[in-house]
Amino acid sequence: MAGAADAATARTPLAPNMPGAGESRRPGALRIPTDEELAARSQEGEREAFSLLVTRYTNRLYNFLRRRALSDSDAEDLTQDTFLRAWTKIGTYKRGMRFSTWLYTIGTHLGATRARGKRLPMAGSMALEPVASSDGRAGRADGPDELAVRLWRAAEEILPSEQRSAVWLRYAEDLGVAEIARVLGKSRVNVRVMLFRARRTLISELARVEGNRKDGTG
Amino acid sequence: MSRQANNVSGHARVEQLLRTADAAPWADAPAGLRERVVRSLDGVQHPVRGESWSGRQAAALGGGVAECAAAWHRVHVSAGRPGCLRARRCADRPSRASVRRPPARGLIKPDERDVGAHAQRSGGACFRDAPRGADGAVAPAVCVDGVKGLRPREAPRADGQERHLSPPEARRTRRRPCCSHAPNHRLEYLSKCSQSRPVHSGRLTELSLRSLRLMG
Repeated sequence: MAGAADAATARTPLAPNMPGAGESRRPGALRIPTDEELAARSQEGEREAFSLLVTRYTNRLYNFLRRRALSDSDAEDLTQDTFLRAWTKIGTYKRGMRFSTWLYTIGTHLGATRARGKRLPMAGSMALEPVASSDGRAGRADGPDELAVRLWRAAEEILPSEQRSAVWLRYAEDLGVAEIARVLGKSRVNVRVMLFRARRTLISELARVEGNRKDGTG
Repeated sequence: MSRQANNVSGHARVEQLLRTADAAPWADAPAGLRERVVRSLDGVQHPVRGESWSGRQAAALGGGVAECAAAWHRVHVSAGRPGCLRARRCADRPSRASVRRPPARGLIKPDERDVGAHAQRSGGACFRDAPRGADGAVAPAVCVDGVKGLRPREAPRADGQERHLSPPEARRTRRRPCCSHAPNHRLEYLSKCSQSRPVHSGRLTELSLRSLRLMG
């Protein structure tokens, strides 16, 4: 199992331009290689670099695939297959492309292939089970972020699969619209529309939740 | 507030809430998933630098490893044909486009630009001794030292003066192959030719190398 520190690192979606994700600004500070640098080193045959990418992305990829797979065990298998495919196809990774986009695209394709092979409905037509996080973040509903937690929970439960994936990639993974479009195999306009509709659904849900709170029933 | 303004603020609010730190329901990956992934990668050959294409194995076959035009690609030269990259394919990418090619015909490499000065230094002897065609012209644009000229020249006249060929003559001579088995090769590539046949008298290559060394 990834350690607590690993899990914390993996959970934080650091964009390459965010502090800590790329080159350190302070002179003399320890330089943390970006995902893209590690991918480039993996292309040159450095297994350690890819191993570090696996550490960074196991949790993130699993969380993404969990939203597309039919079950948690499917998500585990898909995570493993995605890394395996990424390693065997590392030569096709284009430098300059965000590594997460490339990896998630592989995961999405593998998920679709697997669902097709099993003659199963495409990813996640059912609502996601609430997660049981080790620190109970997702189950917490009494802090200052209570509304945000409830909103996420609603997003997981009521949004259709594709919208759920798009919302996850946009707001949890902090990917851009173009990158989400690439991962999901949609056009940018389609992604924008999906996000818009998802937000519209969540606005209604938010109003309902707030109405319940005012009434004292929430 | 208008309905549209309400909508906009509603979207912005939802976005803000979704971006709230630690609100997203991240699940912890199951125990051992990372190790399982790493284990599954064991023994999987690297697609680019797999064992079967390692430089050591290529060397054992009698070949070598040459740098490819792309920064991280390598060209593996198989046994028995060292040096000639032209006929090689990049082992990593089966397209020849990635392999370093000789310059296209007509392109002049920097060390060939000074052919006039070279002719002057040698007193024209290099051109006088060069193999002549049936019309008495010097072999295509190349003197006996293997220095390719920008423009083909006729053999120096008795008074030591040289005359540049007319454009049609120049084109004709330029098209002339430098040797039979490699019609597209020019003399500067012959030392790398995969078939390693003697070039003209065999003296040319040796001389050309010496000459190029002298020209520095």
